[in-house]
Amino acid sequence: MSQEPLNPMQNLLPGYALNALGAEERERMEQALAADPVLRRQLADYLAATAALADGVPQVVPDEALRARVLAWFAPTPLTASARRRFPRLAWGLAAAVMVLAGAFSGVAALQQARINDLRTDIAHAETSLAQQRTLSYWALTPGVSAVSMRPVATPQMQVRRPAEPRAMLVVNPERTVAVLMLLDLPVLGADGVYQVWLVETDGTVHSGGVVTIDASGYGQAYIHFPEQMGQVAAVSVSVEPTGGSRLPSQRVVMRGNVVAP
Amino acid sequence: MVTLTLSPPTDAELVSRVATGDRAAAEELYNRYSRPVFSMAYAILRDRAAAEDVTQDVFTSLWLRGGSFDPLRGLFRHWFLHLAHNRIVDELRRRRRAADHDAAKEPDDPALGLEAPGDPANEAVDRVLMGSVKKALRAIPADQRIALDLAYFHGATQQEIAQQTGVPLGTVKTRLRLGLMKLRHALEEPAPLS
Repeated sequence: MSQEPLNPMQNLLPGYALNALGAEERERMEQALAADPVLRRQLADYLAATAALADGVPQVVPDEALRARVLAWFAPTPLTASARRRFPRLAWGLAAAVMVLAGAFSGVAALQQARINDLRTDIAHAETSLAQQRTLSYWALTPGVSAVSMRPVATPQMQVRRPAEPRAMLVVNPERTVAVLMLLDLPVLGADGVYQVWLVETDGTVHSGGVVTIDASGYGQAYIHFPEQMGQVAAVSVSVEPTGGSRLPSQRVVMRGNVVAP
Repeated sequence: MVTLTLSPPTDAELVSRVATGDRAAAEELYNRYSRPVFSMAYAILRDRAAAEDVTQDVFTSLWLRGGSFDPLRGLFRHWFLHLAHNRIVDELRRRRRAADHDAAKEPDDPALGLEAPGDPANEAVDRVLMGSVKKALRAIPADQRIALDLAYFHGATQQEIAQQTGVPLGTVKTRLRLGLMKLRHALEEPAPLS
């Protein structure tokens, strides 16, 4: 945003940043931007100002139903040309991944489907569940992922009578940088407690994987980003912690699973 | 050693992952930007259902065109909010045209009509904005503020602003440019000590 005389394209930049150009001017502007890096840098300054206008409006939280609608659009198929080139490898890996994971997921998938059927009276909620299932399908069908089944640990919380045994599944990406945790049929905690995930390295170092919210049916799902400096994960556990989470796991570990080295 | 905080991926990292079809990255961007996009749509369209539809369109577009983001054009945040505003303004103009076609029907929503400039009650600066942005905008000259208000919150083109305010098109361009520059500089200045 210099004070020097402006050329015709520079003169149109503020209008472009504000989406206040006519269609023809807009097209000319986009052609000019594609060809001129200086113009692009100048536009960045104007966009910083228009973004401030967006920041100044009262913040309104959109409904969860909108979230479900949007996430349902995020199809698992890679969309770019480079990603499409990788698709044959993905297709070949698909069959193997399905074979390996089908057994592990069969019980989980059945429970998920039953749960969705139960929730059909609430369309928004069902859409959310569907989006969650698609997430898991995407992860499960990607070659190189590993799945960790977690088993309940005998504690007073887990001895509450429930229609199904609590279970948990952790799906880790091939690079071992991100994981998806799905919890099913865990007891619902009071307001003073939360479930917290722990990643345990082979040398015993413990990292928090964050807290997981459980809904009324005992279902919860969380993305876990592994710390960059973390070494080999040996085990994953879930414990009951005070609301807000803890620095270190308490003695109330309710689920545990071992991670097999790749 | 216990690690308590995880460093989140940057917007640029997430959008590059979206370009490869990474659904989790798209979801994380939704987590970060659904509120500002929806809030902007609601403030401009003043219709919750329309704001939801536009927000969905914006994120669908991000999923389909994530690879079109060029980091050389600035921050992802600025680019994405510009993309969202563009879509919101398109919807506002579409609704205005539809209302104009039905001559017998008055717009149900005042957002569909260009309101009289210069009337503080009609300026989004007073009606909508809050906090430091509102303060910064109120500090710039009224003619520049009105031009920005008509463009950003009412979806007026430069030509329409010229007609509405009765000044030459070149003057409108100058007012928009000066208004944005002053807004940017005002928001960059440190807050005075109290």
